[in-house]
Amino acid sequence: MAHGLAFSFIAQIEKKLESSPMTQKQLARKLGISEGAVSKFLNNPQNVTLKTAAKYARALGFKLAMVAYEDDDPANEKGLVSSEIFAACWERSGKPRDIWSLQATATTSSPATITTMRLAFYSLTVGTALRAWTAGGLQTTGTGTAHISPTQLPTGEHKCRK
Amino acid sequence: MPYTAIPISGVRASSRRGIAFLVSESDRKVDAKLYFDGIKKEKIKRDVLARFDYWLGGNTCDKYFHGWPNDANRRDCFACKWREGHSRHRLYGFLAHPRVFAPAFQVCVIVSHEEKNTEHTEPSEVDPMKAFMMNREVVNAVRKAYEIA
Repeated sequence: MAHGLAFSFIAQIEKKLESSPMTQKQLARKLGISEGAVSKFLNNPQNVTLKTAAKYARALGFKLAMVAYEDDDPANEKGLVSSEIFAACWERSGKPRDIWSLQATATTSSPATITTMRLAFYSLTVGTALRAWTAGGLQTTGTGTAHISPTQLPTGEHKCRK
Repeated sequence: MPYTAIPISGVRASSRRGIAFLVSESDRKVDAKLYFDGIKKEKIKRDVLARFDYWLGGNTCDKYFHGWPNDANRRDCFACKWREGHSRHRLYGFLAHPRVFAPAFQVCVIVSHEEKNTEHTEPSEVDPMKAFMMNREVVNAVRKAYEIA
């Protein structure tokens, strides 16, 4: 697992180097080491330490995080989730910087959020108004769209879908 | 010439991709598994397996492996790369879709090994892979290795 972790990190470094104007030589100069030392680091995932990983990341404009997660795969048959996936998920969540902004993200505009409200509606005919019944707060527009006012949702039970 | 496709062990299980060595007792061009099994340094073996694992996860990194998706003649060819000192190593292969009822499932079939002293992979170096991917026996071997029971 440790090797896979380091490998995934180095792959990010390699891809950043590929896409940035910085050369390996310039990276070495920024880190205050030889180009050979950079090459050695990139070709030896087993030698990656937290300290050196952080130095390389910062030199390329990255920050680092260590993520422990559960994925219902105790035998590790499915391998590691790559760090790029975590980074992409964080970006898609609106880059929350703390727990409060993460919570705010979870209760607003995620398209994958499922509503738990007691609400059912059906369409009578295609393109006509929706008929619905609910505890309240649902307005029909006559154009096949239903709007739910967030302030009228039961507190503590819902996650909004927008 | 009989061929067999042997799924590579020590890598992740994936519902979307697989990776296998093509093996043949009589075709000397098919030497990737022989070379891989003969790697003495554990570190190198681990690095190669890590590349396979990375590809299986759907990741990309041209420094570790790549195809020629924009070259109509070599679109399904594949190269895995690593360095050992001054030597540049390549495992060449091709991409296949062996499951008739799951055409999205993709397998990378690793065929041969090459050692070179330049970094760049000439597209013509992978041209032999085209013959393998069209070979009926090879196609059947890959299908057999990945057929769903």
